[in-house]
Amino acid sequence: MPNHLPPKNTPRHAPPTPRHDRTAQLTALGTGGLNALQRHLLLRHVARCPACRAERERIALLSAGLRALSAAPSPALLLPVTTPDAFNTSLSRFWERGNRFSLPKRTALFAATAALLITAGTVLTTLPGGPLRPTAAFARLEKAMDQVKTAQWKDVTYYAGRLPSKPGEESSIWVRLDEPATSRESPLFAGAAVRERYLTTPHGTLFYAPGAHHYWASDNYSVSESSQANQVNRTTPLRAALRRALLFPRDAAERNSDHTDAPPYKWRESLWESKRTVLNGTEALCFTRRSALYRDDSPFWRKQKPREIRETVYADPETFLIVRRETEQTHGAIGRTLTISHGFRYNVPPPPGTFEVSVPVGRTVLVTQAMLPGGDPVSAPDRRGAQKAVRSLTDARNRNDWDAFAGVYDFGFAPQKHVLRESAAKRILPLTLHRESYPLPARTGSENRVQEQENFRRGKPYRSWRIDGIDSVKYEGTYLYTRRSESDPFPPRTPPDTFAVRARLAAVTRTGRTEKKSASFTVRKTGTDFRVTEIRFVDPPKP
Amino acid sequence: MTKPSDTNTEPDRTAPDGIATNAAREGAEPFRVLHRRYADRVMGYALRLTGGRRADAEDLVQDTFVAAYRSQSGFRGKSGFLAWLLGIATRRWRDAARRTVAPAAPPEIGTENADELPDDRRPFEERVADAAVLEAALSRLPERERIALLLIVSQQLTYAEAARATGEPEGTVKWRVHRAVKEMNRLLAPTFASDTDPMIADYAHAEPPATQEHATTRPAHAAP
Repeated sequence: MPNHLPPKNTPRHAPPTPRHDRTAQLTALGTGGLNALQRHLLLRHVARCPACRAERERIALLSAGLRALSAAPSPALLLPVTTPDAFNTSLSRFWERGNRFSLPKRTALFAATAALLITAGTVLTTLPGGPLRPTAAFARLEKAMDQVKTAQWKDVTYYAGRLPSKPGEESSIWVRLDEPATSRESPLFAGAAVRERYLTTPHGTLFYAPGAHHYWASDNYSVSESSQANQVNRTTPLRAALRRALLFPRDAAERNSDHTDAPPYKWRESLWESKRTVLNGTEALCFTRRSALYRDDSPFWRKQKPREIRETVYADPETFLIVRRETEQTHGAIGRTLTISHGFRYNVPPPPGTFEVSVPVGRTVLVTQAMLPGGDPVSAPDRRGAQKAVRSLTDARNRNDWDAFAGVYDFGFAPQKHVLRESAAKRILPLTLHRESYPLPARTGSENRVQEQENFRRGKPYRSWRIDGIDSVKYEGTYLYTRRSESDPFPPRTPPDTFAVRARLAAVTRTGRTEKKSASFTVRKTGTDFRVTEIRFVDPPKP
Repeated sequence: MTKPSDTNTEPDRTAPDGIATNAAREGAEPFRVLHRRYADRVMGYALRLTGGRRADAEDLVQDTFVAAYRSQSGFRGKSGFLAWLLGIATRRWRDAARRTVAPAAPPEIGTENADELPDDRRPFEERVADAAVLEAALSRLPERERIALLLIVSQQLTYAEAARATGEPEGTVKWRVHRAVKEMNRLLAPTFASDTDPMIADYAHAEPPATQEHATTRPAHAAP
């Protein structure tokens, strides 16, 4: 009888049984049954273990063979004669649960709604007398703007209520519409003999305030330049904006009163009411409208009452050109202002130099030069340097390491008293560290640190700052410039050696509870050294 | 006739795609499109369920699609459409098997080793590539393990979908797949005929020299 058994030491099954059985895991590996960590660990083991590697290959071969068996020719479909109530009911129910295939229905609904809104908006904005459009008579004022090339008028502002009593401030405004530009010259502050000038052109904006007053120690030129590409893009919008500002003074009010980082204003306005009246002994058209100006984007601003604005526009009944405007607006509980625009002159050639500002030869001025959006970006090393400086400062602040703080903070740079005054008016802490508070070199670094500690101890509410992330870095060059001759261009074409980078950050402060704040850090670069010169909390803490 | 464009060879991990959408919108005719798309996969699954009996498999496929057509409200989109179909097929097959249960017959003489495949010296790689051998090995798996293996490995469902199709917990499905793979590995490993292979037979009948045996079984230093 033959021996049916294999000889001794001959394996019945070829693959040797590994000392550790990982078939379960290897099977799961090939069939998606492992999570990422398990998968990683197993693959690391398989890379080292020949037995498991062989087992994995066997499983892969088996899987491939089984997948080849997944399909086979099928018979024809014989459906029952009685048709059920549509296969699609459940499927459509499925799609309705937010599946992408329900999109067409939603798209149709969305398109219909959008079309309705667009139609309504178009009708409201084009239909004279609509809530978004002045009355037909006022529309004639808009039409009359077509013949305007230049306009000049004067603004006088009167204060009432709890606002400090000031004499009327008269500003002189020139507007040029063909080559859009505006020039506004007004007293630097109430009763001041010196006047500031504010120019707006497609090339940028230029603010000029002569020195010899208590704000700054020297002349100040603030230049915001556009890039070349932006200049072209800004021409048409600027012309439209100027034309609109001429018609609707509230735009100017909005622009002037709006804080840079506060949420934008919203408007609620009534229809224009028109009547005929007599102005200075001559017949005139009179239009009046009431508006409410409010912010509701943050809890802080929501607490403010809406500003109420009453606009009155007088126009010539023959030319429909504006001859007088009165804008009265409230400022919360603190009072109200009345701005009267009068002395309108149209299409009169402006005096030479109206839309220019020149620096007297031999005069040294402090120039702040910023790039408007669309300008050249901040170079990467500058951006990194600014971010590093801000982080170092906040780290030092949180560690109470005042030596390190003083190493990063530049106490002696660019005092700006108006910031302090503004902060005090809002009853917020003077977070800007001024030279007035730290008069160098009268105080030593140690005294500065003591003062700094005292400030924070007294003021609260910030126990620590934490920088969540840097939102933006803006280019802003601040430097001293001396114009040597009339041929020297202004603003100077050479980049400044010293400039500042403004970083806006999200800082988390703790006043018993965690509050999220936005802060603006001005960082000055000198050579390769970055130092913080100013800290401002944009969203001020609640008193 | 199956249109090539309607044949889905990729794993259906998501909800039905545009074809099913059309089905939902246009009515009964798109169901035939779905049938064209998925019928071959269901047929492949049914063939392995029925142990290769084509007539039974065709009945099962027909039964599955008619049931899907009638009970379409059961499709809630929690799994892919193919997974839903395979779940129906699985339940239909089990129901049919339950109805036609027969008393277990005593094993015939000489079939004690019916769970094993015939001896085959070919390496594992070749045996796996042989569809007939693979099907034979599949048919020797316990039914639940076979179903789990087919759903996961062959039809490439996820464990969640397979669990829903079989009505078992995911862990159980994993365990069944593991058992099935292990058994398939064992069945498909090369085996040696004891008396049909002349070389093996010679080797088996040969009297190994004592020294050789010693050399292979004992370490050299342990020799007496």
